[in-house]
Amino acid sequence: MPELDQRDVDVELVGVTKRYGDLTAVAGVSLAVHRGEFFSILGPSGCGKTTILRMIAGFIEPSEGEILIAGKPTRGVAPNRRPTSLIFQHLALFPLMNVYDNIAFGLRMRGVSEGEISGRVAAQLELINLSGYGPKRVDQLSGGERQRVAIARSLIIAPTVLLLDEPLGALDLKLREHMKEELKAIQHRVGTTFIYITHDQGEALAMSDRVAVMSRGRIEQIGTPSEIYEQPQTRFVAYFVGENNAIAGRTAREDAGRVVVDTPEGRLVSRNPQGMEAGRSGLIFIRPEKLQCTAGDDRGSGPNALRGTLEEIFYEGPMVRMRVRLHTARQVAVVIPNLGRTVLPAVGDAVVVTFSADDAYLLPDGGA
Amino acid sequence: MPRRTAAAAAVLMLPALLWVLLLLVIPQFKMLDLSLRFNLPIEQVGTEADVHTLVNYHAFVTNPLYWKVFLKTLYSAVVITLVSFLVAFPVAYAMAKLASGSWRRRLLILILIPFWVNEIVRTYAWVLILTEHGVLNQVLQALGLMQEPVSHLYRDSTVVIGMTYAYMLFMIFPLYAVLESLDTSLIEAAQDLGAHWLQVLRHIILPHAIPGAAAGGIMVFMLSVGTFVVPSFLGGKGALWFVELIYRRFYDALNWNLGSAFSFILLALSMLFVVGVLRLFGIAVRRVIQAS
Repeated sequence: MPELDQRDVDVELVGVTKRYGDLTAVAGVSLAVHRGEFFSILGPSGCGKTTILRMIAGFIEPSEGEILIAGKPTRGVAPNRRPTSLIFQHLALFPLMNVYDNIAFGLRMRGVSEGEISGRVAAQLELINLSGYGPKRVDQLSGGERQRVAIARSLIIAPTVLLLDEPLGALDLKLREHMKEELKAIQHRVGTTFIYITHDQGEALAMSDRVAVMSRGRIEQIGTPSEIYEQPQTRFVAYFVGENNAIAGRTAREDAGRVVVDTPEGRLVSRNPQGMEAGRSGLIFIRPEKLQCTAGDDRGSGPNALRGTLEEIFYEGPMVRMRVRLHTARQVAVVIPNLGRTVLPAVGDAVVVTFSADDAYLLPDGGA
Repeated sequence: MPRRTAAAAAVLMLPALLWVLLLLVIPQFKMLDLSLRFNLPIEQVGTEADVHTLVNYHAFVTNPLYWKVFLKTLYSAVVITLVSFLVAFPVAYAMAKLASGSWRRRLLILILIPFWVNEIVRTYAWVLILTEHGVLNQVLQALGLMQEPVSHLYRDSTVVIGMTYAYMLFMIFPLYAVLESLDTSLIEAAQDLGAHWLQVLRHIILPHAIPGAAAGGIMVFMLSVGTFVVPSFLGGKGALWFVELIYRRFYDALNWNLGSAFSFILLALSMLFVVGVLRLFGIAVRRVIQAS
């Protein structure tokens, strides 16, 4: 774990493990979330990310390890005594209360005077652009409005950390896109640390300062969205985040951060982030949008060229997706931006797929 | 609604409607009519002497014995209802929110088993427990808490205990139903926002449980004011309940007119009482019906 100035760390997990009988939901997770950071935990369902969130909120105690919030250990501290606030997956707005009473709830529990509450609730309603919505019943609100009320209800108690448990999952696509921007904007305005749980890599990459990718209770990689996307450190991250083409091979030699790999497609060159030595088997990963596809069967002079047949074209508007079957019967996906001037090869044409060695990377075959 | 569906619905409803009409509505009107007539010798019934009168209702108001017993019955039924709620709420909450699936089924069966036995038999069980040489006294004496055995029977408190037990299920089940429908994440959200358990109970759980509590409360209350078995077995002569007064008008005094009047007073006043209490707590009757 990297050295961090303790004053800048809001939430720190040190070797946190949670077991349910024989099942280990979270296995030795350590991470530090900085003050004011938008931190996402990304992983498939069942990877333990919600368990981590509920442990930070205090609903579950870790079997092992320590969770520190604002530098203080939290073991044995009940959820109502922690400086955290959780936005539930289904929001959990109180159905018998109106919008005002929902937002005022946290302050009332703290014994704040009604006079002060009404001013602070009005300020929160303004923050979420719902001024005048106080007397409305919760079931009169649209999905996006409910979302914003849940955020206001949590933010009014000025938590050190706001925890969000896939809150956009229930929204339709358009609204989800809009709420992504809205959430990011709210976080900028209030400056609170956000820990955001999601299985949607688009959400995690678009909103976060840093992302932790989880699989089967373990952290696979922590990094900025571009580090996660461009420099995956494990096969899981390479496969799970975004789309990827993988070509298996055996390393022939390596030098100066480059590695030459013998594959059924021929000899290919890629980056070698893990410094793999010669004679090891690995997978070369290359994103579909980093591939070029030209008609004909001229391999040209570049090092990385794959010959094949264009099998399918999916016209998706802003971009065109192509499926190419290589001569080894392996398929690769190619995505090219729809610039309007490119003449696309036709289905059935012989094509050559090329890529730069800088855009491809080799990872060991047997996992991280 | 399509005409055929409406017709089918009418046919299916017919037995229930006939049941209500023949066994409830018509006899009730007959009793109302009886309660508004003098108690005449049989040969004068139907003659011009058999006119309508309010004398029976007048008797209830003017005779302190009658309305005092009535008020005591009402008061005891309120106590029974409150005690039922206090006992049933933790049980219902534990079943709905704390027990896992298999334990929930086991608890439900455990609670149901005693009620497979007839009400009279169950009430006799209380007699065996509370009588002078009953189980309770034997235990108390064995523990050295009591020297001379005394009978716990034939007191108002005994009747309250017996009735609370007899109608517990009617409180547990509506409460269990509403509490089960309470989203656990609402409780967690309240805790997360800083509420300790008493505040969660007061602001989240109880408001949600009100329709169930009201439904259960109405059933327990109406059964308590209207039952005959428990007060006559456990109360005897020492604890006189209003229903026993009605019973005696019919079977001992053979004054069906006064008995009918008492029945109507009991029905009308206890219904008024229930509506008044619901109003007092601002509970919409619609929500109560949905919960029960």
